[in-house]
Amino acid sequence: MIRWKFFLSVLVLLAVIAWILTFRLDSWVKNALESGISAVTGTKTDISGLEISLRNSSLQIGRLEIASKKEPMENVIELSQIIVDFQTLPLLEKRFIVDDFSVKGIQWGTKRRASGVLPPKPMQEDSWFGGISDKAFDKLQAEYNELPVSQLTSFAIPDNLDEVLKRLEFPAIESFKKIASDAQESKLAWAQRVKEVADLSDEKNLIQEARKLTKDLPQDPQEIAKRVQQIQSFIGQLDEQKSSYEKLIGKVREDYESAEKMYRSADSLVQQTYKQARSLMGVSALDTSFMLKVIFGSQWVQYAHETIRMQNELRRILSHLTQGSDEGVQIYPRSKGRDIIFVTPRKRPAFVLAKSDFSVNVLEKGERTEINQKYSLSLKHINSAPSLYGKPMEAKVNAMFKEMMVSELDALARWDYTKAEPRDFYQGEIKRIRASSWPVGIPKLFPLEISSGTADAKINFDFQGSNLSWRNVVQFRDVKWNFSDVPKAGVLVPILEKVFSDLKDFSVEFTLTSRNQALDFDVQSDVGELIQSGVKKYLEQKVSDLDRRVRGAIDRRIESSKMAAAQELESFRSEMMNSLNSKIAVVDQSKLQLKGLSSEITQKARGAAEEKVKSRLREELKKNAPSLPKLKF
Amino acid sequence: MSLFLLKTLYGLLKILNSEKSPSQLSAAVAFGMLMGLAPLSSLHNLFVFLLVCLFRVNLTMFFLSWGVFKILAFALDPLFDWLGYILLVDFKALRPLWIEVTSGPIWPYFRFNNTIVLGSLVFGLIAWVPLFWGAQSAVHAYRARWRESLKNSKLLATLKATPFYGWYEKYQSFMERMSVLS
Repeated sequence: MIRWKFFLSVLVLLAVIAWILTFRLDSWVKNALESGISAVTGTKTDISGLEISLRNSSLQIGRLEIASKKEPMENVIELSQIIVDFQTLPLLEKRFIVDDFSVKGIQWGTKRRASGVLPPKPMQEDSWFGGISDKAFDKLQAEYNELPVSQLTSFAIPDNLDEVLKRLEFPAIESFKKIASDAQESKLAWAQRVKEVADLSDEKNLIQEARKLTKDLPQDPQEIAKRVQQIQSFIGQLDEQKSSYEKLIGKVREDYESAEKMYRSADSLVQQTYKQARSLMGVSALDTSFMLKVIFGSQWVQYAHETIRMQNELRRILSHLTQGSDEGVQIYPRSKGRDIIFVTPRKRPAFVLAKSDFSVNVLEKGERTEINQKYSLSLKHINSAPSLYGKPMEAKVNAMFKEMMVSELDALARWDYTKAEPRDFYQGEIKRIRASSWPVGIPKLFPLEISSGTADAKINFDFQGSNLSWRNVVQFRDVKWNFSDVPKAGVLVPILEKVFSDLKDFSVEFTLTSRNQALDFDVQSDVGELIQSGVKKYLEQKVSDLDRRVRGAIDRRIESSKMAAAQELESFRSEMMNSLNSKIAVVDQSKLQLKGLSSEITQKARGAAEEKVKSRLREELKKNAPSLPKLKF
Repeated sequence: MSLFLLKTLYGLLKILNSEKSPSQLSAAVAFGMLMGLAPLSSLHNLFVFLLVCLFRVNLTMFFLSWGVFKILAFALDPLFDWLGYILLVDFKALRPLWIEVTSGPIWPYFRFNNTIVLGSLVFGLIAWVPLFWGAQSAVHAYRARWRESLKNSKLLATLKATPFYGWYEKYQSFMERMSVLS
């Protein structure tokens, strides 16, 4: 039933195969490391040699080269040697616990023998760390493309007065002409109307009539009284005449006021022409509010895009460590099936680097005694299953550089993947950055550069879930600007050159925040206002003389029609008013005359009436005297 | 490919027509199934193979069965994934057992926490006995009903006439010598 001989021979054969395979272990780990690092960096990674010693519990990596993304024939970093001391017993539990970690010989930008480009990866599905951030950046870039950057170089002020005048419209001239002709027409129409309302001969006729009534007066007082009443009625007619004149005066005044209003609106059209002339000079059309974004933001956005892309790649990898449900299990998809990790107090991450502090000194290439770079790195809680480990991973870097782009770097990175919502936090300070290396302007369009000076930058990057808050404050000192490559077309560039020559010490703040899968980018600076007002001031100086001349020319062109309109208006007002007022005066005079005549014949009527009463009394006395009783005195 | 199939068919007929014990043949089919369904890199396969070597299991039939079930496994992987997930995640009563067999020294290398590894192993173990009995009955039935008629058939005569038959004969004699070792 049991074939021992065959079984034992197979067992021996398997043991021999296993022994031979241990020699391949180094090569397998090397390949796994190379492909793992390449997955993170997106470029080729080469390890020249790797040696695992289970007896000494150590792993030695010789010359690790990570290719640059931009330069295929260059390494972004080259490490001469990495030594990892690990614990052997946890390997039986498929756990890799690192006790110590050291790196020797760091070099930047070394040459490669073969290209470091990897074949393109298949497109990721849309997620914050997939396409969404790219789309958000594309949108941001599109907003940038809409900024009127070309204005910076194409903006020009015309210097030929006639050219400006040719392009101007003069609606005020037409308006003034119309006002003048309207005033003339109104004057004629009103003259006719006044004439129609009454003729001065009417008053004369009435006076003549009244005079006639005062002549050949009858003796009968009643008859005289009738004549008085007739004269009174003439006076009434004159009163009516006067009130109709007064009404006409009111209407003339109304007409004059509306014409005056039109005159004022025509006058405001002159202001419009001034504005048009101003806009032709281009000053009001010049928007300088976007300048900060153009000068400091354009290239920073591209840099931010690259940074976010790298951060997203890191998050994609780290998030892979924390996938799971809330049922006490973590689920990791594999090429075949899924690995289920049971989260228990006993369960520990497969890889842990609890704490490691090390420093590296980089020597000058030629001088082997001179240190030109100094790094100190402190790693804490680096592990393969953050939710099992329960503490965020942390890395602190302090680097000093001699005669390099940056003098000092102090940074803290914390990756908290212990909870369902991951959080990446970076805080750092970079001191004495060569300001000339700080990207400003827009290449090709507005290739502005900083030629000298220094800058200190403070970075605060907090990316929790899908909420990003990134704030960079850069303090520039002793900055000198270089406009040599900026096209000198237009007037704005020389003005900017003058304005920027005064900008030496200033700070710029960049903020990038995410909101509803969109990005909000802002650039603020204490020199923002200064740039805008400086540009405006210099421009105002440039255009003020031309503006004065153009205004004078506009005034001259409009003057004749304006004067004509004013004269016509004044003549309309004065002529109509004078005419009507003189008529009123005639009416008043006629009234006075009629009143005199009236009072004259009233006196006569009163005399005649007295006479009549007296004669009647006499008659009555004579007739009734005999019948009257005799009185004794 | 057709030659390979021809060779396989001939080998199968040769074994079935031989005087090998039906239980040896059926155990080979069942063990081949157990190993073929699981991913190749599964560590428990090593133990299955050692068991095959230890017991008098027909190696030709074992490798034949392994190959057939390996092909079948590609189609059955989603089923094993589903079964493994139910056992590992949904069936909470078994969780202490899984925690035990996935932690501690050496155990993690068996990858019983992988849905396909566990699903295929459990499926294989459950199917082992029915397949063993089924294969045994099938061998008995074949030998009783069809062996003689197939021996005299034109199909077998044609197969013997091919040059591959000679190669196969050599291979078979080598395998027989290997079994003599046991």
